[in-house]
Amino acid sequence: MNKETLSAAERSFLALVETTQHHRDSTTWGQLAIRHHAGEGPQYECRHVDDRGTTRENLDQLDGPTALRERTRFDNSGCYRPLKTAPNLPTGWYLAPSDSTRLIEAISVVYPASIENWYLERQGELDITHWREAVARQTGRYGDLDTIDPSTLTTLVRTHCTDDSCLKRRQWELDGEHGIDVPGDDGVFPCREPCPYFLEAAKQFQDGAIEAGEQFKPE
Amino acid sequence: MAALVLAAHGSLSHPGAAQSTYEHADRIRDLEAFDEVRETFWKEAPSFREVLRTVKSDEIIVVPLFTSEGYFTRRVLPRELRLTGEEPLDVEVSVSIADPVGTHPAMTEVIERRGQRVCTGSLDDVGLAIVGHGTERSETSAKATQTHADRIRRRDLFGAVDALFLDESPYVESVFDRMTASEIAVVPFFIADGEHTTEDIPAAIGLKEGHQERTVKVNGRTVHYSGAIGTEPVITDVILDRAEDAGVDVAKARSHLPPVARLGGA
Repeated sequence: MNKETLSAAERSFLALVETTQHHRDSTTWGQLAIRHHAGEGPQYECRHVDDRGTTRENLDQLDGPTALRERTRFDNSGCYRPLKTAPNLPTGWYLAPSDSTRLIEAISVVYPASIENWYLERQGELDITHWREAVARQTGRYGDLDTIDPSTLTTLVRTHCTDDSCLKRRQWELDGEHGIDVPGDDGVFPCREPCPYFLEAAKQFQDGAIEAGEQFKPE
Repeated sequence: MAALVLAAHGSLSHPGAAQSTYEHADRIRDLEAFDEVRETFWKEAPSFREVLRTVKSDEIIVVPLFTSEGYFTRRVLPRELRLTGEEPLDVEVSVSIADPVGTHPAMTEVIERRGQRVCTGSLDDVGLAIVGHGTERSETSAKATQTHADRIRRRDLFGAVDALFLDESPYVESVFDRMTASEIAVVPFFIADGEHTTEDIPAAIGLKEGHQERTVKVNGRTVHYSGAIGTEPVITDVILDRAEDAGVDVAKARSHLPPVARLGGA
C-alpha cells in the first residue's frame, strides 16, 4: 500500500506528525513519541515518551506489529494491560516503521481507533454516546447499569477516566443536557462513549466488589 | 478485496483470552487474501462499536469467533456494530456477519481430535465430556455443543459422549454423576483460554487452576483436561470457510495455509 490508499484520517494524522516535527523533536500520542526521519532507511520511529532521551542501544528493537502487540499487552511489571489507553505503556523498546502505512499500523496496535476518532472530532463529526444512552442499549449483566445514580457515576468517572487512569479525553456526559463535573482530562484523542472497562468497573461497584472511589483492577 | 474482521469476546483479566484470535488473524494476514484483517473484542479495544471505522475497504466481512449461535452473535454483536436497523451504520460500506466458527461442521472433528489427543489408551473406555458455555439468555446457545456431541456419539469412537455447560443444565459439576467411565476426557468447547477454561471449569470438576493439558485423578477417576479448542490451527481454515460463505474468494489463499491449519490436512 502507498500513501494514496491512506484514509483522510490517516493523512491528517501524518500531517500532524510532520507539522509537529517542525516545532519539536517528536509528536506525543498517548504515551507514544513519534518521530519522522527524512532521507533513507525507516521513515518513522515510535517509542515510549519516557524513553525520548535514551539511545537506541539501550532499547529493544521491535521488528513489527506482532512484537509491538505482545510487548504492549503487559506493563513494566509484567502485568496484563486490559485497558490499552491506561498510562502504563511499557518502556524500553523502539519500533522503526519503514513507511507511513507501517506507522499507522503500529499506532492502531497501541491505541486502536484513536486516529479515526481524533479525526472525526476535528471534523466536528465525532459520534458521542452519553452514559444514559450507552447503558440503555445494554443487556445481560450490564442490563441494570441505568440504576446507578449521577453522584456515584461522577465518582466512578473521577476514579477511572481522568489522565491518571486513562489517556483518552472523555467527551461523553450524563446525557445531552447534564454534564459530569470531573476535570483533569487532557488527552490528545477523545473518548466517545463509556468503554468496556468502565462498564465493568460500574458493574463491579454495583455488585459491591469495589467502592465508588476505588479503582477497578481486574484479577 | 474485502476486509476481514474477527470478533471475539476478549477479557479484562486474562491476556490469554485474545491470544487465539490474534494467532488466527496473523495467519490469515500472511495469506494476503484480504485488504485488511482486524481483531475486535467485547471486552478489549477496539470494541465492536468502534472497529468498523478502522477499516478502509468498502466491503467488510465479520466472522464471529464464538462457539454458538446465541446471545453474542445474534444480539450483542449486531447491536454493537449497528446492524440491527435501529440506528444508522457509522461507515458507508457494505458489512455482513458470517455464521460463527463454532457451528461449522468441521468443529466436530476438531473437538473429537482434541479429546483423542489428551487420552493415552483405548478410547472405548473413555467418556468424552464436551463443556460449552450455555446461557439461560439464549435458547440456541447450547445447540452447537449438543450437535457436535451427537455427531461424535454417532461416530462411536469414545465409550460415551456427553454435552455439559457452565451456565445452564446439565451443569459441568454433574459430570461425575452423568458419566460412569473410569476415564473422562474433558474438552472445553471455548474459543479462548480465559477465565472459564482456566478457572471455572477446572474448579467445577475438582482440578486446580491452570489451563494446561493434563491428567489428574479426581474422585477415583482419571480426568484428562484439554484446555480451550480455539487455539487449534485448523480453526483458521474454518474462518476462511465462513468468509467464503459470505462471498469472498479464498481458494488461492487457502492453498498457502500450512498443512496443520488446513481442514482435512492435519
